[in-house]
Amino acid sequence: MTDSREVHINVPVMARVEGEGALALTIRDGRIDTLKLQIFEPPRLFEKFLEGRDYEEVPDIVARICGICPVAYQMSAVHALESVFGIPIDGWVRDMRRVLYCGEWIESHALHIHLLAAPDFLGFPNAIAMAEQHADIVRRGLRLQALGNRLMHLFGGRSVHPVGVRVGGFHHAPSPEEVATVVNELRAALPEAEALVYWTASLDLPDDEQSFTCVALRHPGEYPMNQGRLVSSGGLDIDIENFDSHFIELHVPHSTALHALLDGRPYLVGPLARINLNCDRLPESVRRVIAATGVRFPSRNMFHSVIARAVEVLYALIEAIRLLQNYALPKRPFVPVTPRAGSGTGCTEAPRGILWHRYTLNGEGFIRSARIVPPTSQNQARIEEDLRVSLEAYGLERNEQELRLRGETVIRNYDPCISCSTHFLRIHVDRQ
Amino acid sequence: MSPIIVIGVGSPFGIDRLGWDIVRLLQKHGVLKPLVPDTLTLESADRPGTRLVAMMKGAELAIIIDVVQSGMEAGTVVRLNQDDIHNAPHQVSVHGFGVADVIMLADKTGDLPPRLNIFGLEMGQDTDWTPTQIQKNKLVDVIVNEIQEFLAARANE
Repeated sequence: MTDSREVHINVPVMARVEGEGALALTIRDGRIDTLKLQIFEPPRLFEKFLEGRDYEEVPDIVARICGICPVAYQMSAVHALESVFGIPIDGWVRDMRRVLYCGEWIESHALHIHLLAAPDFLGFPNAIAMAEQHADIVRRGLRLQALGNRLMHLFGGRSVHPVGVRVGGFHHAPSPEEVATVVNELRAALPEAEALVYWTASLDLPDDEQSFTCVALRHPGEYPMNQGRLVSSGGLDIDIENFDSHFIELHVPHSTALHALLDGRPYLVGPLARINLNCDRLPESVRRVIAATGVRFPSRNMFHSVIARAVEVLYALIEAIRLLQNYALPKRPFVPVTPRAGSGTGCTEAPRGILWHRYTLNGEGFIRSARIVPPTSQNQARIEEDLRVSLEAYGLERNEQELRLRGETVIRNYDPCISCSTHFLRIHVDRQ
Repeated sequence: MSPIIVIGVGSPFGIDRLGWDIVRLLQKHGVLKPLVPDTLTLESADRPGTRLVAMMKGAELAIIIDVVQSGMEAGTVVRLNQDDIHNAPHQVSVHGFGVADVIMLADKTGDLPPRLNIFGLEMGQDTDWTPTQIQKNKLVDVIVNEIQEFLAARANE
């Protein structure tokens, strides 16, 4: 039977996503006619701000792009700049950058799982309402988030927009005593992180198998954070320098953020893509926990993203402990830098997926051009594709409130970070 | 952990700096200097979101300083307690939970300090409003007085 109702739904505010956008949905004759994830937030122009700046300013400027994943921006930037200057980064600096990244993953994922996503899966409008009945869940989220912030503070000087990163390494190395205290806190949190994986796997998640392409970094010896080749579930395996040969960014009229396509198709970046492509790079102890949940990766259920985030929290704790347990002060926490002209690329795994940077510098180390491809813009086309598939599978005959909630849940599942400045997503469903 | 923590909430932008500016003035205040760090912690926080909960943990008295928009005359010293926060319009929060959201969340989880007050200056409707030094000093005096009263009551317990 064809649904010929004409229904208009206006939802003025959608909480628990980052940034300013809207979802326009038209259902005509029981089918989705148009579906647009509209991002109308003004462009923030960071790439232009960077032009003419000294390379030393870049880590602090790009950290301001995001209050949740500043480390990712700093890491992609310094790797790109170091590739221009020909600086080998290994040993202490490489390890501690990984620790810093662990902190960001823990902080970002803990926040999303407990305060942004969990209310959807437990049937609450927001975390405050959820806390009345599930105070223990909220407390766990806050504890883990605070622990991630502790790690970021240790090497970044502060957890929001950290200032400890420089091209070549860090401005400061924390004392062994400070590190030992944090290691003890990390160890104490391990049982809680393990329980988090089991808890996310026990949630009543929608069973929504879909076909999609995953893209992530892949490293020969470790679960990817700072380095690796760009790989996809479709067989792509390229150096990060060759991003433009396969990926395109394009304007669409309804978004001020660029969409990205891989060989002409939407693709997924982020924790589910990472774990789908790199599960074998996780330590045996983490893989045992995954196996015990009964969830199998690679997974085609987008809602398994919340489980993937929990797995990455556990992994980040284990990895940070591994890297810090024999911590010793370095002779100096950075490699000296001599600027030179050239172009360089950096690509690291932000909590929400690959974050690709490219810079061209002159001989004095001033930025001539900058290009930044963040994960949320890469996921935009995939989110639209997912919404279409998910809502049709869910049933377009359902009432507007149900459709709206499912649409919001689908979007929030990507933990989109549209920007850090404004906070509203308006949804308009036009059913004809 | 000191029994009193004062947290200036804000960002580097415009009037949003108020919390940081007040903390800086408190750090220079002759009455408070001897109390730091054993009795008093003074912190500035850049849009702390849920980190506020961890920052307040273990404190007997937490004072949060922020700019306030409540309809009063610009420059008025505003004092809010936990109940006032509950009655405030719900802020739609995102990755960075607002101060009111975090306080309501911490209240639900039982993680609020025994005593919590929010002090601020009313900004009125003018987003370009800038507080005078006199207005800032008045707010500083109110906070110092609050701390002294708390310590006096504590000493008598």
